[in-house]
Amino acid sequence: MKKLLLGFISLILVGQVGFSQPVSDQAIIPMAITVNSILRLNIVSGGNIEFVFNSIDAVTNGIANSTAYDTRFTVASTTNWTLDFGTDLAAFTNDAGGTINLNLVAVQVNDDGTTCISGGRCTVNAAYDGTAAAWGDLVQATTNLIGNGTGNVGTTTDNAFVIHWECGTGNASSQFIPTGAVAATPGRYTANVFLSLTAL
Amino acid sequence: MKRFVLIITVCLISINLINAQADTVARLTTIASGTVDFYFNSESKINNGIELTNFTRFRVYFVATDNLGNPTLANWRLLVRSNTAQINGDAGNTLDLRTVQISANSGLGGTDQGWVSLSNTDVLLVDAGNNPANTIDVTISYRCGMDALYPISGQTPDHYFVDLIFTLELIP
Repeated sequence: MKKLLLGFISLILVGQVGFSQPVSDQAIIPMAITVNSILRLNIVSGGNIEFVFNSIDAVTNGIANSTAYDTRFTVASTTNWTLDFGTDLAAFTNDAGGTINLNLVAVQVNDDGTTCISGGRCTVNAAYDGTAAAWGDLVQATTNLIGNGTGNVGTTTDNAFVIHWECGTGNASSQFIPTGAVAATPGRYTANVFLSLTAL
Repeated sequence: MKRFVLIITVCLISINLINAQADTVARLTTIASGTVDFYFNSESKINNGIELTNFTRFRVYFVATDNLGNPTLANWRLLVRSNTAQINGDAGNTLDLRTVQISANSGLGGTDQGWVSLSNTDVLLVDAGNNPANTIDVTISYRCGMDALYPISGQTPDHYFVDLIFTLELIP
């Protein structure tokens, strides 16, 4: 009788297995997202600034900023960033080895038709803040010019800036040519200004 | 003799029970593009996102019959979910699941739900799938970084990954 009962139960179980047809199925699709960092600094105009002192007025009063003495640049970045600047030399130097102090040149930075600085997405070094009409000295040491505010990620249309340059006007500690401790020897004095863009 | 008759009777009843049941079979097979990769390697892609149209192709086999072998009123549906609560990166960074949107195109095989955001709970992609479907192909499209609320721009560079679990099931 026990064997019979066991056989019966077995058949019932076989029947249950027969009912268990699949009513759902699954597929797994692995997905990967690779995000590369993009950080690009593009000088739009004013990649070479040249101050020519060829008049008494220029020598006396310096050469004030105008569009001819602007450097326009854009930043495209997928991460927040900071921009530093500084020169390669401790002073402007001519071929004969003569020098002129860097602080003959005054620097100011501002938005160029955008709102990164004025809108707070970017911070700006107060010494060079164009929105506050501040002028700072050109220096050799790497110095922060623009930083991250509330998030300066953006495209070239979000992050467009202008650096205003002027020479010998007395703004900030910028020296007047006749009165400063500068070499008065005529010549062409040069220095390279590095703009350094860094992802945060 | 009694035992023999009893055993035969039980066997017949069991066979009858098996044959008399309604039958439902749902099968989901990946036909093409079983892995999805988004490469954000340009400013344009990062700012605008990437769309992969009709990328993954599934083959849906669905048959639901009554005990006479006739199709029932049952339908199928296709759902998707992620296996994690966020999209994890190798370096420990994370992306919101809603960075990814998915849509299905079943042709006339069912009612497509359009673009849906990825979630870690099942989200409906295709509803009221035909029965019998036999072998309907469903293509899946993907978007990443196209929702303005969940952009790729500003995300930390990393290699992110997540598994998508597609479920074909009988509509309860």
